[in-house]
Amino acid sequence: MANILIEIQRFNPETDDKPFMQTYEVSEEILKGMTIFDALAYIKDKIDPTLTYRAFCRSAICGSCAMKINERAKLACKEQILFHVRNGKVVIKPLENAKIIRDLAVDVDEALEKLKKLKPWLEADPKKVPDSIKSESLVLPEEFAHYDHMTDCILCMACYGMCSAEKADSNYAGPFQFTKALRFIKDSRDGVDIDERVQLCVDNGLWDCVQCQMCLAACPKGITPADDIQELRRYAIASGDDSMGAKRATTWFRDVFATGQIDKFDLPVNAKGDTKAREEMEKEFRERGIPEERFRPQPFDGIEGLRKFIRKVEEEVN
Amino acid sequence: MKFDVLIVGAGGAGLYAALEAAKNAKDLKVGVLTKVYPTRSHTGAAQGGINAALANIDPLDTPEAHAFDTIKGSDYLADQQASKFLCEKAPEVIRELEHMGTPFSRLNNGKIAQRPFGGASHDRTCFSADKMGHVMLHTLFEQCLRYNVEFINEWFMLNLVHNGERVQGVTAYDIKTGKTEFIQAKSVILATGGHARIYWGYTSNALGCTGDGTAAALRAGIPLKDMEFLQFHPTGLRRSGVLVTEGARGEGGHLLNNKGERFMSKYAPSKMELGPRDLVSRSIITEIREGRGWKDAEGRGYVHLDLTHLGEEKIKQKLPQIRELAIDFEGIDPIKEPIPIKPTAHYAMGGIDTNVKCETVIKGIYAAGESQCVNVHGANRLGGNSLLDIVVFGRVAGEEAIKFARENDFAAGGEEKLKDDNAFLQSLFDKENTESLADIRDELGHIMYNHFGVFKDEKGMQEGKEKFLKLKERAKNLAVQDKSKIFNTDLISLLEFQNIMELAEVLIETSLARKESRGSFSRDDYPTRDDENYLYHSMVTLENGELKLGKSEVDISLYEPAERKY
Amino acid sequence: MAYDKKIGIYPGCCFQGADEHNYDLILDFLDKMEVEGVLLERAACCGGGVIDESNKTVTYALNARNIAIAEKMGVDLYTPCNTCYMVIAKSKIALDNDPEMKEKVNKILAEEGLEYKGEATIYHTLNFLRDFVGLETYKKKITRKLEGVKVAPYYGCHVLSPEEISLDDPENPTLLKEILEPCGVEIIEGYQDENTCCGHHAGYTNPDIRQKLANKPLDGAAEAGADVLVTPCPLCHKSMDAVGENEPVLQLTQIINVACGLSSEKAYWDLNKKKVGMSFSSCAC
Repeated sequence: MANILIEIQRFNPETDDKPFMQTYEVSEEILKGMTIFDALAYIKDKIDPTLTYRAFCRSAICGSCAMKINERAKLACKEQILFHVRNGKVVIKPLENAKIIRDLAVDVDEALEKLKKLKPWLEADPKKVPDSIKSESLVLPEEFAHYDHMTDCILCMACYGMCSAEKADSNYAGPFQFTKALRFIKDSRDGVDIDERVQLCVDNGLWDCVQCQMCLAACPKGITPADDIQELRRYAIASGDDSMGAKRATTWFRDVFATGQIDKFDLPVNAKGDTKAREEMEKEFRERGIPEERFRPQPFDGIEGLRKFIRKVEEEVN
Repeated sequence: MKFDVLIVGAGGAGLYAALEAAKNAKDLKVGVLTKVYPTRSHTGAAQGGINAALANIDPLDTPEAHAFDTIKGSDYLADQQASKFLCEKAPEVIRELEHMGTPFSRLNNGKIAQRPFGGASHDRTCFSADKMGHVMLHTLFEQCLRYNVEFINEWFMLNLVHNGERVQGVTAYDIKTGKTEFIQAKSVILATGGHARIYWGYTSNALGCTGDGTAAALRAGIPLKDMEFLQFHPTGLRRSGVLVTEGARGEGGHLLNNKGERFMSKYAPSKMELGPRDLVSRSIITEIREGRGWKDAEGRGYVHLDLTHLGEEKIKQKLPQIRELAIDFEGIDPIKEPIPIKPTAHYAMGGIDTNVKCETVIKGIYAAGESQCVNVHGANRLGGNSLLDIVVFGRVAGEEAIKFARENDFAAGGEEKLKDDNAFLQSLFDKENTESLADIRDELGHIMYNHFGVFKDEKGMQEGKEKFLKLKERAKNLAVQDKSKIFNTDLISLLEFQNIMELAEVLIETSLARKESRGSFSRDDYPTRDDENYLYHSMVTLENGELKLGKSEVDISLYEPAERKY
Repeated sequence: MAYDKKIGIYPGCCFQGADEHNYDLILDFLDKMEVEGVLLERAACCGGGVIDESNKTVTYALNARNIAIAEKMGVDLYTPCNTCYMVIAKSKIALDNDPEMKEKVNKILAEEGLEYKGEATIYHTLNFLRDFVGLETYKKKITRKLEGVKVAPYYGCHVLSPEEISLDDPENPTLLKEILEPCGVEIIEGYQDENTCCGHHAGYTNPDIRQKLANKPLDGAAEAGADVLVTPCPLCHKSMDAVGENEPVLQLTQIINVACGLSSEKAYWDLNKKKVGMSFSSCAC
């Protein structure tokens, strides 16, 4: 059987200037049936005792062992190592967007501080939650279904460790933070004003998400922060948010309704009042000889059918 | 650092105590010291549920019935008034948890749903799908964020410090930086969890369930109680020990030996795979011992749980989670291959001796949760009672520790202990390492499992004790191999290992001393319960480097011990 | 020209109006592949992930309609844009897994004489080449090698995430290499930030983020010595060209068309704000 190369990013601030890759060779036979955590433990126990990583439950519930496997964040204890061999090797690195403490262990405090800003807790609504301990609040199964799945989050931060907005702006709250915020908005027992919760999201970067879908791909529990962020944006627009993103959303829908397509020519003005950008576009289009009727989308023949369609979907389908 | 109340451990018990303080003792400085971030705690792995006589499903259920079930389940070793207290507090604690936002599964009328569980005369296990522990732990953590609980994260407690009468504080090690500190505290709550990791390689427990607080209490001269009682679950996955629930057998899974035989026909011909847990465990071990099992690379035996005959359709429909577990953690698809399983060490009924107020013999030191032994579970814990235990007594410990801190000043002294601990740590760095920690740890697991596991008898245990003592000698040659001060998990593993060695020795001695079978403790040379001679709590105290065994009385004031039949 | 194989062209926002040249690129591309492209008339915006911020069901319904148009014309749906592909593919999964929603949407579609059946395959340029045209067939269409051109392949996010719509192995995507190498270019692999999002969709929510992100893979490509970064997605192309500093970028079809004999002028290389720095004239070979 072949030897598999396991390439791991190492870094000890005591001794290293910067991170470097170290390669370990382990036979395929030994690795058979092992999870990535098992393989790391094997390396630490038998080859290199200085290899450092976090691990605890080994059963995908504590969230300690999130790390990048071939550039994609996963839980090490849940992944069979042999499923991740590419070109004879497995490349293991710590999560991004967090300061490396040592090797694969990264700082999680910053992400938790940002979580705290969004009030990720229930403040009992006295109308729903009895003030005595003689009874529980009543929550119908259908009500619970609205947030049940979001309570699966194990705070592993795989999503955070892949987040593009986070990469560009460390003030961005982060994907799991927004999912938590939505979880409490959906909890019928919560007494914090929904607009307040939504505003906290807006203030902490709700509109900064670039919808790259990395968080969805990374989550070991199948939670969908990118979709949750879209829902929070719906709430924000409904509660009167007038940021650029909100204006983009409203304009976009209006354009598609009117013509079937978005109006990229007027978008700068409609979303951020930027007439200069539109002037520059016009200049460029004229230089390229584009006729004026192509600056903006024209409603296609039969647009009424589309408009009726959209109206009916809004009314009848949910 | 200096705290009025220092809580060590951030699982269900620790967090509940912390919340108690955060809400009702804002005048006090309270800190939670934990070696892992709070939501990593093993409370999160508990799946089945939490018991309370809410009577949402069965209106005839009462706390008295719950208490009786608990006491009977304990094989009459439980302290009955304490068990009663546990069960009486259950409904209010569940509702408190619910008011905090815990997402329980619900009935159609909106009330908290309840389901049947082993040993329960009424359906009373409240649940949230199969992740009760997880949602409870996260809800408690969320509320701790709300109340600004101060966490001292990734610090490892080294030792308890007291002056013989009264606590002075703890010494602790900062995992991130390698520095140590003496933390002065008026009161200390130990909520450090269980120690099933004694059975290294044969347990469902997380890597760090090494009874650090229990071992520290032992070293500090505090008695440990009922340590011989450690519960096994018949079917844990071969590698990870992750539990495969009874449902797999309930849906028609077969247990097979290496001859392809459904061996349960020899041991429980009518119930087959659905016999009582301990019987199934012993049957599996017998097959392995008699050469009809398989062995993995580390020499650990296992048998097969075969679902292949159920067919793809049924497995995907009825047992999707079990299939996912097998694929993820074993690399095996149960549609095509049988699942390798073995009995697995699961829960420690024994621990730090406390009364029902969580007090230990040292003033100001309290214990709560799996690390504590009141004893409400006696010789055998019912499913769903552990999650209950940790929050009920977490709260009690919080209340008592607060009261103590309000009524007392700091005790002077204790800093000198840090010098000893620093010297000890330095010796681990300076010594030459001539043994492999991984090998010795595996060996401890083999010894404990094969000699003090599901099967015990005098001869086997004496053999095991001899092997253990030899291992203890070898372990003296262990030192850290990773010399860094930054996030040294090699050092932490070594310290944790020393803790499980200390606790293993206690379990060895108390197992030898108990010449009967009771609850989860079964001996083939003494297969029956002997109330006349052994209805007592075993006590162990470390005195002058030696383990001293003793007894303490069991409270049987409510129900006369009877034969435990189901 | 009428070829045996027909495909429905879904006209996303990047292929209309002032961006009609991108549509020409597609027509040329399909011509080179000898596939007849039929425009999906009256198709509407896929939603772009933005209509979800008003009403997610409308997104699903709009794409049910888009797919239904293709199905009515008896063709599969081909979109050359990453985001359109992701949104349409995700909508399809949602519709196929929610019979109640599907039924309600179909009831309304019936008024336009349409029905979403869920039979049409959703193609993006990458799997179109691999599965519809076939890579062996594709290779035969190449008439000249763009030797000496160093290309940094860039997938963009929405063809690899989320996993249920992924067109290639996210841990080791190879399709771009398999498509570009036959064009004679040298592939620069493993450059810094090759997996980093271009940030296009932050253009109207946080332009600073888009600026920062777009430049990361471009800087990585430049540092690795690439002459040009090549992406199958017109949105990545647009943003990286608009705000990129250290490396030019082209769309995949712009390379393929030139490798199949078109001049770089006809493949609209000159429309780049950041000039590519080389050109190819029409090839009669």
